[in-house]
Amino acid sequence: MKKIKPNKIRNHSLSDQIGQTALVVCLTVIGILMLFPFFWAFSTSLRLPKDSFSLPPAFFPTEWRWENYAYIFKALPFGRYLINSIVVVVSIVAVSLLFSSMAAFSFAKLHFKGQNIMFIYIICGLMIPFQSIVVAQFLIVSRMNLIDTPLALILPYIANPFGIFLLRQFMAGIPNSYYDAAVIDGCNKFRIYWNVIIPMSVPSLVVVAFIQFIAQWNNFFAPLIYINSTEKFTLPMGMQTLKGFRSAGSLAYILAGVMISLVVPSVVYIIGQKHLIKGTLLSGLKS
Amino acid sequence: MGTKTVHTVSQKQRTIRENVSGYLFILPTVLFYTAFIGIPIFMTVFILSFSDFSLLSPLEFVGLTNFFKLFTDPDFKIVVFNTLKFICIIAPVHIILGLVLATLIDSVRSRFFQGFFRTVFYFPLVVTTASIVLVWGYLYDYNFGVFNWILSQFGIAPIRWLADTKWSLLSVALFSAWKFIGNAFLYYYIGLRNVPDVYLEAASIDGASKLQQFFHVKLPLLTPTLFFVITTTLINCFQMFDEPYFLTRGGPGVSSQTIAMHIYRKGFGEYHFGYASTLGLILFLIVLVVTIFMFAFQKKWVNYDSE
Repeated sequence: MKKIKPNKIRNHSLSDQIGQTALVVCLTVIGILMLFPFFWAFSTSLRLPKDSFSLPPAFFPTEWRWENYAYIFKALPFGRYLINSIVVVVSIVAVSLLFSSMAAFSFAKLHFKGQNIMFIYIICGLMIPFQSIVVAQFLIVSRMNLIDTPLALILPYIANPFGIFLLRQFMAGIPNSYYDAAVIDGCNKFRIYWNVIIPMSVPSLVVVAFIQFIAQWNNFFAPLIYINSTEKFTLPMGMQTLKGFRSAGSLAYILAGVMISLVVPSVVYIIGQKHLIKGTLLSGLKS
Repeated sequence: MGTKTVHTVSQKQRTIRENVSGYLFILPTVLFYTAFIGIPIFMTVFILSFSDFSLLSPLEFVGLTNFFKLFTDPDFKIVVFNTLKFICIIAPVHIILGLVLATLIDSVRSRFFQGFFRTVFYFPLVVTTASIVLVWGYLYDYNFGVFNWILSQFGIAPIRWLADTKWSLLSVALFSAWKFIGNAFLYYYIGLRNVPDVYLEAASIDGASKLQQFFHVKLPLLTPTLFFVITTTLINCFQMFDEPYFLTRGGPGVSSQTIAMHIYRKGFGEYHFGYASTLGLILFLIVLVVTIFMFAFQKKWVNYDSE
């Protein structure tokens, strides 16, 4: 043991230090390249519209015309799109998180006849490409008279096979002794679910909520098929109307719109990312 | 004897109750799942794929006609090839580069920088595709685009990134690789975090270099993650829709059109709902075969070390 320690200390010193610095510098350069489209969009969005196409491209803002943002916010019903998106996404995440965690609890902790078959039935949904069943789903949604309503964007996504899979994996890892102790204390199944298992599953609930939030916030295909009227557009569909500004040659306005649309997912991400890593670590995605 | 009968009765009651509550808990999910996923699967596989109908004309059984149509549809072969080309470009980037990035970031000692890099590399995945694709559309612009400007600095002639059949698929693939690399990266990163330090310490005491540690300690322990990433990357690539739809609408011609886009175009563009469902069934079968193949061969190389 004594021999190792000095070895390790030396490891941490000079050559290793240089290696670490080189690594950080390298990754920073790659990171800046990765983020370059964002830098460019941001700095160009602040230019005079007539200068937005001028080269060389802007890496740092050369001007600070925040008026572009005010203009595009007024020109497009961004508030409308944002509210529509929030209503749809929050409803999906809230309801499906409740239902998915209930199902996951049932699959992980209860024993009932046909449990495996039901589980396989639901996991099938993980393997079906959405486009494969889109025609059939469209027929059902239109039979329910839901076309061009927000419910058409919400109801098909309430069942979340991925979330159920992940939550079940996590809940299966909670020792059964907790469950048994609660039974002895006279808790019924719902109280065990709500007061024992749910509080212990918060990290993986956060992961599922986060992944679903991002997926649904970016969902473009569903509104493309189900929504016709402009005032019901969610943000991804609304972004397509930005292209109409192209004829005016005002790239700066379009990019201002793009930057506005990035605010919500960025905020959610920055708040959620720490929990995302921790939760996924705990969820044991190993198998 | 008496106590035993009581015991079995209550046992029986308990199993009934357990069954009932088991089903009650999954009921809401099963209802929604059946209505919007289960029945559509059934309809696609057994009814729609063998029928011809549009929004106005009623459903009509046509047997295998739709399947024969696959052979006469000149675009079908092309979109399948396009999808395979996309996979050949994107999958290696995600699977290999994602791993390299995750390994590099995992070996950064400063916690601050590690968190910072993690945030940066995952960020493109989070932002709305429909928005950021507008930015990329301009980066690819022939006259004013940044990419052509960079080329011009090296004296290279500008390229019609999105409008040239030679480049359109590659341009879309490049965007997709950039947008979604964070997914593979994050899973690798988490897998690497799960590698116990004792193994690495043991290896370094034995004099293993960093590279040897990676190939002989980390990589074998990472095979379950690798399996997960490869399988999901392949499945996602087969379903690719958003990126070509936004950037090129599958064009020029059908040069960057994917299977998923073809389904949309046939169904919701030309209202050949039956044929679109048949294409959907084919896509599903492809994904199914890939998944089964991956799972069948996983025993050969995936290391489930459940101690």
